[in-house]
Amino acid sequence: MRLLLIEDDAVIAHELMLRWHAVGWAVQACSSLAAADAVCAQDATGDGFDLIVLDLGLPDGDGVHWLARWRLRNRLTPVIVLTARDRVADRILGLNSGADDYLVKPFDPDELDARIDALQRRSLSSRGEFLQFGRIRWLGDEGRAYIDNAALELMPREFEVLGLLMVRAPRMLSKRSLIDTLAQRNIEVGDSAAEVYVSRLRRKLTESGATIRTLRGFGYVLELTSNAAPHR
Amino acid sequence: MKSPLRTQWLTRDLLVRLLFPLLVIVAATAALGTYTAKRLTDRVFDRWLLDAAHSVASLVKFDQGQAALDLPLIAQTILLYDDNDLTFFSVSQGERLLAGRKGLPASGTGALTYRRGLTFETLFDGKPVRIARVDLNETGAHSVTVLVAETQLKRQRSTQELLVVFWPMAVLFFAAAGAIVLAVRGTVRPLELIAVRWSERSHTSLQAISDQDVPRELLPFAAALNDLLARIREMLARERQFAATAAHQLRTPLAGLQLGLARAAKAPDIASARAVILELSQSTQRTARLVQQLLALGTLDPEIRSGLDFRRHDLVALAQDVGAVHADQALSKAIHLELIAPPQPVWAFVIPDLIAEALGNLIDNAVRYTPKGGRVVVEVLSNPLLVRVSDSGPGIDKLERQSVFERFVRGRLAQGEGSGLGLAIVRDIAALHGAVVSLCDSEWGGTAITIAFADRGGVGEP
Repeated sequence: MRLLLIEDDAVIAHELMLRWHAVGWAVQACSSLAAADAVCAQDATGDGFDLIVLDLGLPDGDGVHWLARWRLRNRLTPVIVLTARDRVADRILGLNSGADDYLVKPFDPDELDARIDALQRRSLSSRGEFLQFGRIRWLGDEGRAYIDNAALELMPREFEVLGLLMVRAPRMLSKRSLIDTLAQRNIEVGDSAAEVYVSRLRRKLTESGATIRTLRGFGYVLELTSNAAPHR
Repeated sequence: MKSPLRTQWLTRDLLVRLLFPLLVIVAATAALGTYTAKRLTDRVFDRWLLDAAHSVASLVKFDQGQAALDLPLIAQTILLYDDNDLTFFSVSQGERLLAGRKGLPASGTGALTYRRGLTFETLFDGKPVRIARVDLNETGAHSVTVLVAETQLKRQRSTQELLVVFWPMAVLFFAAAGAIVLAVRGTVRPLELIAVRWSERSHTSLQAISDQDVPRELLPFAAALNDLLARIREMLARERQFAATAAHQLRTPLAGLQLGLARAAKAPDIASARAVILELSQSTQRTARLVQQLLALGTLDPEIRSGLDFRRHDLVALAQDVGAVHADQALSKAIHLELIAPPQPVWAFVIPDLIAEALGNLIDNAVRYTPKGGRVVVEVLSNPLLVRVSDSGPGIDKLERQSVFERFVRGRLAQGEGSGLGLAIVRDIAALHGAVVSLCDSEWGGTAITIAFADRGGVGEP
């Protein structure tokens, strides 16, 4: 995997490079937005990096603005934002600014790796590859999902929703990002339609060893039944 | 106030504004006076000259067109006698000189026409003279011109004597100017002294300045300065107390970290050292959270809150965003997090960032203190307009319900984590919005904290 790390703190950059080199990832580190622009300019193909880790408080500008510019150029490369800004409003801004994920310093490096893995899964699925969660397998190319080897009877929209849930699992897929992502794929659904797809999908997954939990008003989580918390 | 330069400018402005008009008035009066004096003497002496010319003219006789003058010597002597000035005369008919000096000019500059003749100025014999001219016309004869010239010594003396009247005026001018300068200096001087006194004081102490000996016009300045000093004193006191508490609060987790590190260093094997290190990483998270909350409290300082702007914002969307930020935390404890809100937006006039912070603190507290598998419910209501976070946690003892909103006070049941700042932040943010925070038991025996806004929310489209 090719990673672009934009971080001006030498200690953090060094630690992350050591860590990622050890697992065999190719990391290009930049300590300023200008350096990042230079690296990206050389990269004529555009999406040459599989993932970008971006610090917000950089010496030559605000990473949020850089991210907005990056997204304007239609780059689909997933971006994880790292920052020392911890106000709730900053976190919301980070999530709504085009970042795919958001971690606040100090962070647990294992957590960062887990998030990178999750984003990798997501970008694989958008390229039509496959996802696995528990006994469920989701094949983008085929447009079909399986429990073990038995095919699941899914409507196309239920299939899309399942993919989104599996990509986020075991974290929450917010209702808003579910609706927004479907809209990006030209599937217009309202609030109640989204609930309908999720509840139909939940019924079809009863034998799968996984279940969809609703965080009412907030969103949905796909979780393994054995780990699921007892419902009240 | 502090800069003496300003006071100097004030002096200069005052002086310029008072002295310049005085100078203009005096100069105009003097010019007008000089002009009038000169004109007056000219007229008086011109009439004498004309009188002389007429008396000479009265002696001219015509005989068949030929003019003749019978001027006895004694009369000529009387005519020409003068103590100071030289007097000349001539009587001529055409080119023919009948009597007197030859070559007296018949015209010149500065001519004045009188009923009985005209006067003008010119040079004669290299001396400036004033000449009166009278023309005699007899039918059938060439006109006879009588010229009487006089040097101007008397006139100049008379003018000068008249100008003496202006000397007192000049003296008056300098006296008035002096008085003005002294008055301005005298008025501004106390200002400078007060400025110096105030400036010296505020360098050494922030105590209020006394308004004794302060001129009435300066009392508002003294009051404003005292007001500012009072606010600075208050701010500094708060800042000092805040810094002291913050330092203490930050030192505590550092001490824990140090103890842990010492324990890890002495651990018999790597496995037990690793266990200690894992514990310690939680302590860093806790410290980071404390720092964030201290910062949040800092931004709530009333002295700097003027920069914040209220906006109409949808509280439901806000609650969804804040909930999404805390969803991972809730999921990791298998806590059932839910939002109860109307399907339409609920509009409120708020500072969205701060309400997000307050709501984030409430959800964070609820998730933190609610046992695994418990329940945290966020509610947004439009009428009455409120936001509420309820949990199934241990609840807060009735006796502690007031004090938990104080800074650095933690509930008795709150173990380990928590800075004791979260609810103080919520209280401050609510106060900033004119909202009321209340705490009661939740449906599930835990805590329910409500932020009730004063105004009514709008539902539906903005």
